Amino acid sequence: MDQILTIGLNGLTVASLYFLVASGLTLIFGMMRIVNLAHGAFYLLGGYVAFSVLQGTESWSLGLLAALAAVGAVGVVMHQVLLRAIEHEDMRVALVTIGVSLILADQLLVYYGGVAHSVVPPDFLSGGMELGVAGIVYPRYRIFVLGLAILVGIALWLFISRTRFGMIIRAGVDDRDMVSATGINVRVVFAAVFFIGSALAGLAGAVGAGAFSLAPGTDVEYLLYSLIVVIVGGMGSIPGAAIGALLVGLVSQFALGYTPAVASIVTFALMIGVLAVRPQGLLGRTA
Amino acid sequence: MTGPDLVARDPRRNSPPDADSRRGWRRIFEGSKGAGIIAAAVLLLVAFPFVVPQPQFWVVSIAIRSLWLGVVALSLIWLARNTGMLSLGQMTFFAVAGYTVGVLTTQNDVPYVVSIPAGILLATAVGAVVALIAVRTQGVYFLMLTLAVSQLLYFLVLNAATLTRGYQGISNITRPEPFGLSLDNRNVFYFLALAIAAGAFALCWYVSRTPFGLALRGIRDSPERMRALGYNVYLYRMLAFTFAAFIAAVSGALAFFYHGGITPGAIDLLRSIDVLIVSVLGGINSLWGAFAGALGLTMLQNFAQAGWIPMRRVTLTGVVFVVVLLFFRGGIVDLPRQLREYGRTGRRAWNGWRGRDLGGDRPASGRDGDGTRPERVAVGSKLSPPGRSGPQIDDGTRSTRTGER
Repeated sequence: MDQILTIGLNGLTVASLYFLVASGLTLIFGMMRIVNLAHGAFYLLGGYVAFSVLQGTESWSLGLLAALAAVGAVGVVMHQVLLRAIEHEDMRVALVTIGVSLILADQLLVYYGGVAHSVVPPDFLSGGMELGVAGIVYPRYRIFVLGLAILVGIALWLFISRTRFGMIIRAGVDDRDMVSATGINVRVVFAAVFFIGSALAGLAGAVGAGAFSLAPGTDVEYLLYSLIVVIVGGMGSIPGAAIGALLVGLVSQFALGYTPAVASIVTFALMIGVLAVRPQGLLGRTA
Repeated sequence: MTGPDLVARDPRRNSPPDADSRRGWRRIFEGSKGAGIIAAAVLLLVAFPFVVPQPQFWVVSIAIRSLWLGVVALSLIWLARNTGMLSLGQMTFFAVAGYTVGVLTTQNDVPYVVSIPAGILLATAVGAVVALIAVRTQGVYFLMLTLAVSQLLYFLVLNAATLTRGYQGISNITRPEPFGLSLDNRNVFYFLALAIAAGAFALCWYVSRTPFGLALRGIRDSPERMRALGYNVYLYRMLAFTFAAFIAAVSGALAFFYHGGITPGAIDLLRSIDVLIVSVLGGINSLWGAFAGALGLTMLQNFAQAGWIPMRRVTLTGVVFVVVLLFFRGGIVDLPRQLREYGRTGRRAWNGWRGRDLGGDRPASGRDGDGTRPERVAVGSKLSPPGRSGPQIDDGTRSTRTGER
């Protein structure tokens, strides 16, 4: 019983991180039909930025903010400089982002080396926390990660369903050309969406680096799982990303807990199972 | 969304296959007459290991590696050309073949005569299973799905350590000695790799020209029409994917003996991307591109490794990849034509610039006032065939301008 609960909580923790990463990926895709395969590298970059800022200023929240802003800015620059000229060719765009991801991850390896780093959370978030169920003590920080993901999810949902800007985004997902025909500067909207989407990866990296460590290869892992999350949940849907993250997080953690050798086969089976029934993902719309 | 636009609609590919291949030849050899050139190429390939200096470097590190890497890329290009599906998962089948041979022979003492075909067969079967799901998707979805599959296999290999020995991988194998020729000898290995690469190329070339291959291209261009004509589109796509998996598996078995084993490092994301880079670098519109790209990438990476190019290997790979994607869409195979095209645009811009300097403020044609990328560029490059319109990005213009200042 204890074990099931602990694994379940671990599953929720990684699901939170997967959601943060995948929601950025799916937001950008929904708006611009761009699959940003550098998203995993953005996660890594966010973690390292938070790490450096924390080292320099000893302020954890400043590190989080810096990661958010820096990665968002890198995303916007990548979009404006490399992707804008070819943004009508979704395949070529995806490939260019792979190239960016290679370069970024390799340069991070040069700068930070192959040793694992982690962002130490502040005192009020460290230590254990009594859950009051079956006497389990669970790291307070991981509860915080879960809470943050829920908060970000609600904020994103409110932002998209209740604000004018969100309305433009939803309209843009449905018919981009029509939106620009109504006089809205789609360029600015695109840049903003790319900023938000990338910043989410950066935030996830900064937060995730407190729960797990940062090392070369982390980028691939998060890219892989966020891809599976959006494949399962449906491309372009933020509620889909939430459901997908929950499924993938729980399934992968339980599989790792009980059948570690073939854990990835179980995850693969989940993906196949969903795609066999709904090729467009659980909440996705047919392309 | 109909298929990836990376594999551009090229009118040449709708013409009879023979014309297609001949023009491919011509693009490489600049219009020279066929047979003599082919003979020279064969002679060069055969004489190669005996004439190069530093054979350990040129034959083993460059030539043999290019050959097996080229075969994996060949499977990717063949699939992309004939079905429009761009796969990032060819290393999956490569890895399954390599690991099966390794596990069967080193841990269960199965002779190579059995384990090699078994490995290739199992990898092909895995290809068929992946195809069941993968070919239902298209474009970037297909790319993402195949990428996810290859990475799941990577983590499977790491976790199933009792079988695959985890990070350590399988090593210290004894290479087989077919007909008394030891594969430890680099020249023997070179000719074996050459024969396998030639065989794989011939097979891909041939299959493209069978009714099966023609039907695939029909499906690529218009699945609805082919379905209406009574073709089982799903089945055809599945078979094509499985065939490509088979080609990748052959390369996997070959590379297993090249490395003298297999480790997870040989099948990670970087390797999957390497295969993609080889295809794009060589030119994804031509089967030859696989080997041209493999040679190009292998040389680049080895030169970077040896310190002849002052840049880290992976960074260099990424930079070259992005540059090729943005500015040299046809890859190495199409390089001469693209350079000519850039030369023309450059000259035109140069003349336009001079004209403006001398003759006042008449705007030169083919140049856009400020830095804004005109919509025409992106749309044009998508719709018009790369074979005729050439690189559509106005960079030639810009570099000339900055050079002028």
